[in-house]
Amino acid sequence: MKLLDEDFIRKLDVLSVVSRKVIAGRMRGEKRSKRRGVSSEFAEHRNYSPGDDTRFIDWNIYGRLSRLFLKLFYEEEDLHVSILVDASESMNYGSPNKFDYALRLAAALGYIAASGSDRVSISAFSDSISDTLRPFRGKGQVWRMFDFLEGLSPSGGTSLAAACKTFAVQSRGKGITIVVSDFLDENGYDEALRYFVARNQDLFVLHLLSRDEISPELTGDLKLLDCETGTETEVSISGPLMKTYKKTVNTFCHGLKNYCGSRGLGYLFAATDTPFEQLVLNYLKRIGLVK
Amino acid sequence: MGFINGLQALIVGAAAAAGVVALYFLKLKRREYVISSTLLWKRSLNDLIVNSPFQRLRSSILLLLQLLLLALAALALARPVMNMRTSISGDIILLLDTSTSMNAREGGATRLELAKRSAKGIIGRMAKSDSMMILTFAGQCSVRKSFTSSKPDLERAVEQIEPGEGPTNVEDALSVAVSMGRSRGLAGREDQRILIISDGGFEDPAKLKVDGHLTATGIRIFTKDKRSFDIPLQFTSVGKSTRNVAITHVDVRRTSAKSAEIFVSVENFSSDAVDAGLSLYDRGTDGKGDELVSALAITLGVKGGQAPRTSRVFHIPQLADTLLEFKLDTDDDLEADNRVWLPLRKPRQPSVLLVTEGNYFLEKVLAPDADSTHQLSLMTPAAYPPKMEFDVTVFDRWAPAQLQPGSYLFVGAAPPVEGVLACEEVLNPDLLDWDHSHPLNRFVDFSGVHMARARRCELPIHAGVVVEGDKCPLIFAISEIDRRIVCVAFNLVDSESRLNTDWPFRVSFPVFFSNAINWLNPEAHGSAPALIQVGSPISFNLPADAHAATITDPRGREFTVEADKERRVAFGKTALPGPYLATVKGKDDTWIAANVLSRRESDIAVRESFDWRGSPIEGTDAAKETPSEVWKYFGLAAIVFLMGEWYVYHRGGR
Repeated sequence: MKLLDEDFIRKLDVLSVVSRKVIAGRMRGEKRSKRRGVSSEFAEHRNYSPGDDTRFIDWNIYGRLSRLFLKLFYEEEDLHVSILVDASESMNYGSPNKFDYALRLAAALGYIAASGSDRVSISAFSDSISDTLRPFRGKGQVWRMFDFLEGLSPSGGTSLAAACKTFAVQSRGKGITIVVSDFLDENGYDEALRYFVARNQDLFVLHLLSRDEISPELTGDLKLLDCETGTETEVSISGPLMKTYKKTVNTFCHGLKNYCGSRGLGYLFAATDTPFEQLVLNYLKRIGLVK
Repeated sequence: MGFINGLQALIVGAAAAAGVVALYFLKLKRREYVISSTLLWKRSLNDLIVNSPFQRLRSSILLLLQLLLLALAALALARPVMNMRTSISGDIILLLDTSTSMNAREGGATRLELAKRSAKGIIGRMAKSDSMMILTFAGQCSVRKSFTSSKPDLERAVEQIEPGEGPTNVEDALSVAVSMGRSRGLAGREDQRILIISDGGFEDPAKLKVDGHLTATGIRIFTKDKRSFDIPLQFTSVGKSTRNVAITHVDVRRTSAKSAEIFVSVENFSSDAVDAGLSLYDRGTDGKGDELVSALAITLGVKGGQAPRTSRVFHIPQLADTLLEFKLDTDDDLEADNRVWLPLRKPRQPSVLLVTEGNYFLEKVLAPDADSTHQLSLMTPAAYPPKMEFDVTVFDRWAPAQLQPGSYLFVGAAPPVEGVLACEEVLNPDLLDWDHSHPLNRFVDFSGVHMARARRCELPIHAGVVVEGDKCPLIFAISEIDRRIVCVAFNLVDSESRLNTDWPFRVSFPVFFSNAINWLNPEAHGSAPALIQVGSPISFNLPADAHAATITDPRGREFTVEADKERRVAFGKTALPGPYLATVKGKDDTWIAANVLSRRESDIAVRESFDWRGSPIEGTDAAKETPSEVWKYFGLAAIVFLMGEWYVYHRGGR
């Protein structure tokens, strides 16, 4: 499956991943860093100390105050963008397929980040981190990303907590973490997301559900089979039941949104029938993930 | 409610219900459907159960509806019947009994009021396209409302029906009803029925004269184009009470010119023995007196048992005209027959003229004695006619050429009356028989009477044979509007005064002539009767110089009645029992008493059916409800539940 076409890729070139938090990167990149370094962006003044680079003395202030101050500039550093893609069996559902949609989304975000000279790593998870693409940088390496993503296939159950824990332990440094998942975990998302909150990661949650999950068109007496767990649930579709189900979906989505919002985590809900371009070019901008 | 097919419906319904319930207990075959996660579905199901307290009930609502539907269908199949007021269809000729017995009390209402309520109920159940005609009957039949579909008009007509009195003459009413029904049927309205509302106090209509064929259930009318239609006869009985004691008979016999005996019968028609008081009052000539003449205590046994009736004789010294009243002091349900009025008229001695050349026996038998009730004058045929009027003229062996209006007794001569033709003389006729019921033959026994000769006469059709001989009538009587004639067709003595018969030596001889004088007495005919049955007309002749009479009813209302060509007045508004006063110019006022005096009316036991051409027409109480099948209501309810079940099913209820 071709994840992104050329036209769309060209549109992604103008975008860049944005971190809402100024964080320290290891290499000089295009992102503002908390560190004071060399760049064109003035940060602040400090008193001159013998041995400082006299090139950065603010002579205007000396003229006024007869005192020596150094101009400090933000160090431009690179951003580490980690993308976690839910590759559990539950993602293999819907039309358009949630997993395919998630892969495209991961590909788009990874391309944007790579284009911005950010470091990109992608991990697939189900009940744990199942596969990881080692960090890469630059457009020249995106083919690795596309190959990696195209090679993924959904399988296994969902254990967000285990996957996030593993990721949190393995990842070093700070950066942006983007989780693309349906969050349909029996154990919930609270424990999983707390790992990110604790590390003060700039986390973005991209919540995907298919239209079939949001507004299922089911009738009659059914035995619903959970494709992940294999559990069966017998239902007799009725008006009240459908109404309650939709309310449950709504509550579920809002619950996750409020959780993220209250913890400063970015959140975007998207049905898989949302036009992909619109999602990437518009909605991601709205939540401040790209600009 | 009852059921016609109850057992079968119960079996079918139970089996069907068991099947439906079994289906619900069978594991429902469900379609498998793979989804991404059942997480949200489980949460939804939990929420549904937790947040909807009636979910358990809702889960079985379809089962409940289906069971109810089955139950209703089974009930409909069982053909339930309920007592309901059924609607009326077709035209109705309503005959409402207003006779005396319908005034009997039934609790707080009279039978007539109950009958009127029944009639209104029937009117209320009429279809819009149907019509009703209302007739009332007692002694006479009257049309209260012609055929109309207007329920208000019919109800008004029923409301205006007043209690009546009088015997129950259902035959005339049926004749009128059938005639009305026939006319209406020939005009195309063949769906009709005759409905009688009564307590059944009438004789079975056996002598009905109608233009139709009497069937077991009504009358069949034939049309000219050889069609026929039936008018069924229906009977609605009203009333239940049998509690009545009545004065059923009263009679006066003059023992002398100055005294009379009054014979009274009282009868108990109740199912309980009764102690009652019988009082006799003298109301005087003006009817306003209050003199208690006599009072008795009487005990009557139950109807059909020992001594349910008793009789008493009262001796009255009668010196003047007066009005007597008998009152029965008892607590029963019909008051109209507890009082009887009896005008007592001092008899005016009739004047008798004997026209004879001489007849010892006639002179002897007609001569007044101390207790005689007439005066006798003698005249020879040559001197006839007399200058004054006589009440009765007796012609002995002679007849005038013409006969004026009056009362005449011919002995041995044929009366000069149209239709009477004196024929040959017959010898030694044998006396065969005599009319025992004729007033002339009261207490008369002609056994052993012989005569040598008699004159055979041809008689007019309206003449009545009083004594029949083997060869010819021996004594006959003719009663015309203005003439009464008795003719003895044989002489007592011949022209040479030799006996022609041994009759003068028989006891029957003076008795017969006494009866004859009484019968010929103008006061016995043409004058107002002392007693009539309530509802019967008052009819009497006026004197030559009078053209009208004034009748005052018991309520004091005065009615002026004009005489007809024969100087006769007839007054029919006698539905009210009591004394009526007839006032004629130039004559004394005369009391006429209208009384019930009818065992048939006083026996207020309700008859549940009457005989009609050998088959009983059963009475149905109009207040009762008749069983009607009501399966269609259950069927309709089942359809409603079916629709409800369909709705709930499609809404997803289970």
